[in-house]
Amino acid sequence: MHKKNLFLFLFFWVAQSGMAEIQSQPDKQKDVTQLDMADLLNVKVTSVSKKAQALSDAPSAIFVISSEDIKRSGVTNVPEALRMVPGIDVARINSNKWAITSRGFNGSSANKLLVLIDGRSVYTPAFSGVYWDAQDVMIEDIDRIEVIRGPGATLWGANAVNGVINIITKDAEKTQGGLLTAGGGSYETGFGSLRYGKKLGDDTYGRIYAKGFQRDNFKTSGKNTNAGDDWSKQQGGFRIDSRLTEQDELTLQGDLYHTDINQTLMTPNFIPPTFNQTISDQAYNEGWNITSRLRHKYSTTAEYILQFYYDHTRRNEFFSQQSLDTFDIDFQNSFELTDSQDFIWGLGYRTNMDQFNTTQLTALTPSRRNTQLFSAFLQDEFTLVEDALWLTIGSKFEHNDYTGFEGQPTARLMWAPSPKQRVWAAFSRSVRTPARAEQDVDLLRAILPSPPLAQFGGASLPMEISINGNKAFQSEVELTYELGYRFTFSPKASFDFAAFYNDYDKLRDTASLSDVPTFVSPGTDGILQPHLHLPLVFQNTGKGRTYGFSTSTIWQMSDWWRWDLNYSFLKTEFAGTLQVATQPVSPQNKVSLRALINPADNINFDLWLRYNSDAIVTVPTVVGGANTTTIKGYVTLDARLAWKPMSNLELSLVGQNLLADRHLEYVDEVFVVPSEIPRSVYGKIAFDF
Amino acid sequence: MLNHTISTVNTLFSAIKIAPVLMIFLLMECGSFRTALADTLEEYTVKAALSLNFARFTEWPPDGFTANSSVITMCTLGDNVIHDAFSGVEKKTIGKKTITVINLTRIRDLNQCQLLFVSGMEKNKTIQLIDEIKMSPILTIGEDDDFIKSGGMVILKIVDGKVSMQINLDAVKKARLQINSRVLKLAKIVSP
Repeated sequence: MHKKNLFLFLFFWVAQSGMAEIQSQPDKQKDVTQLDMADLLNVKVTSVSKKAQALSDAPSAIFVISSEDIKRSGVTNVPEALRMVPGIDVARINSNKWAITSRGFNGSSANKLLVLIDGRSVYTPAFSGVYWDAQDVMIEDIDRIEVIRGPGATLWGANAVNGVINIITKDAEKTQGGLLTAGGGSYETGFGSLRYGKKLGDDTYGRIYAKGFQRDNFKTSGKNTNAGDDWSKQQGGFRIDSRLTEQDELTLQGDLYHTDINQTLMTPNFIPPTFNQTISDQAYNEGWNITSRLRHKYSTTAEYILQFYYDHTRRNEFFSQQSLDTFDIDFQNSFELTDSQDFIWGLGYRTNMDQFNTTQLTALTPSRRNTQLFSAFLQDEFTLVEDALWLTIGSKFEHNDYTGFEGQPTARLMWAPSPKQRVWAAFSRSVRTPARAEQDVDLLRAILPSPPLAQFGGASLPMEISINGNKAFQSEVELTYELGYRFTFSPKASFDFAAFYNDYDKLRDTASLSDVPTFVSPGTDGILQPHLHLPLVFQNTGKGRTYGFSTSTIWQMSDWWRWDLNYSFLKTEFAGTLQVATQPVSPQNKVSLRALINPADNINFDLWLRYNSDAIVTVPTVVGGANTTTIKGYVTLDARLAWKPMSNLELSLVGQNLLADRHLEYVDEVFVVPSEIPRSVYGKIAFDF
Repeated sequence: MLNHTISTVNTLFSAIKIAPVLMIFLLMECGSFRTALADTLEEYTVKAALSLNFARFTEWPPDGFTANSSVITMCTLGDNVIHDAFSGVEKKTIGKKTITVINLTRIRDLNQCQLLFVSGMEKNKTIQLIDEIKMSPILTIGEDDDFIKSGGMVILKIVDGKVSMQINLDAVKKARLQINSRVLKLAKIVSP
């Protein structure tokens, strides 16, 4: 009740003051054109309302996090920054793990999202999800993060079923000189970064960077003990941007990193009476990557881009030891087909070479696999009515080693009823192709004591429940209907609405192949005691639908105060045999309210209030899969105060999750012991030289 | 654990009921002195007005206007913020001529423009654009140093919160345009 009242109050207060502001807008335009040039050059100008006023022309649910947004939110990593996006669900599992999705189905192995860092795909084909603990960039060098909710399948890869997150770093020309940052606090026990950029030649710029951090333990959920999930990272990299000719731009970049991760796991074993043990796992991940991109512009309306990258990652955890090498080459070409048609087409090839070592809990057969992906896309944008109506149609075609050919068409229509408004609608079909694990894994999920068995004189035997891949596992199919509306209702305020309806077929589910577990004699599978085995196999028998909408309002209340208010609503419904147990459900209501305040020219003060309603996740316990548990909704607040005593020096103080000692956001489906996010504070210094 | 969470949530609800709201109002009051100082204008309103002045103080070669046209066409390449700002100079008159603003959505039919304001275009594209029209009598206005480097004529750049003007006279002359010396005196003359 209280929270509703608060939000209603804030909403109406903001709305009311907004209307007053809009109505009292003085008509400055007319006066300005009467001013003479000397006066115009002498007047103080401001561009603060640009963000509030700008209207995207993309016929999709796009949201852009700017570098300024990242700085002022006080976040220290990419996953936390994504909390700014409506329709994106960010749930922190422990100190070093996140579950992130777009439009539902959140889980630590959430699998319907494509994440790109400067054009390099970072989702892992092992389970089609993202290892967020391995993904990092120099946060100050991010130019923007573009997030598209919904299928981005036409231009992007096969995994962009429910969204694309595109992390774009700054051109090296924009990061000249040095930047030193350092800080620490209660959770962020210490972090620092150093970047240096230099002009390397005529129209050639470069930068190098190094960063590191040490992050503390969270607390185990429901207990007052350390969750044993502290972690640290060292990372370095470079980027060179060169203009080879008037028409050619070449970018070369690379990164190298190592992350030490601690985590507490609860893993199954054959030792009674609990049949599980708690393990303090010292894990790590490391990797390197190199990307090269050539852009050739051959007229004002035509260009091609040729990109290749090589990415190596290695990951060692108690339950999984894997390495992956990816080589990818992409070509795309855009040009004006006729006066009213913009055409873009592309070709791509990717090869994934992986290796999995067998651990106590997982084995993949075969342990090495080299898979190849061929893709092509074409898209045509028609201007049906100049300045008013556009139609985009296109399709992506791909051939993968798991399911063969897949086609993913989309059609998008955009209408501009006035220069200040955009209405768009879209229909798309997209597929989520199988992950390596879904075909090849053998995962020990749980061991439970069986009920007393008459044939063993009423004794109970341990029963092993495993999850097994299915070589016949197919792609999940999604049909998406979208509708959007954008309105810049004053030079200082804009509103963005996007609704969707997703119809899923062939969703992943697990089913046991027989009703009774099989009896395994001692020694036959390497286990020296008699036990039962119940294998659960991945099936494409799930059906479901999700629908919802999100809104995003930006209001520049005055030159020194901006509000960003986002709300998202999501409903998840499963049909048929599919149980919630195998497909987690994201929170139904989410609110993010940010106030960006400049009390003085060299002082920033920011508040960020977030609300999440209850979420449903799975907990592994019972035969036949899992139980569900509800994560209680929460409200939290971040605050940041920054002061620039000199133009090249900034001191800031950030408080995160201030409203409670700690709160739970997620319970991992598999082995990770849940921990709670604590209230924390850190200070930071940033020095340009 | 659940009970604990519920009670925590309840406590924090009661806490947040007051704290942020109070803080916000406090800030509103503290900060209100800033509104008094806020005698500023929107960046693009000023840039549009400056562009209008360029239209006023530039002489085009006789062939730059199609047959005794009674309009001066100002074209923009930019987003809705630019469009909005330039709508403020539409229909203004300069002598016997009226200003028409065309917001180009594609880079085409540039020869209908006497003046072209370019905003937020990537460098690669700008170079191609300028190359295409460098001999045409179109006064090109951009916003950063790259624009001059790419062969553009005028930039309106923000320096210390004010607009500063830089003019590449060579490019202006090549296009057979003449900018009134009153304007030149207010600008920094640069070469690419």
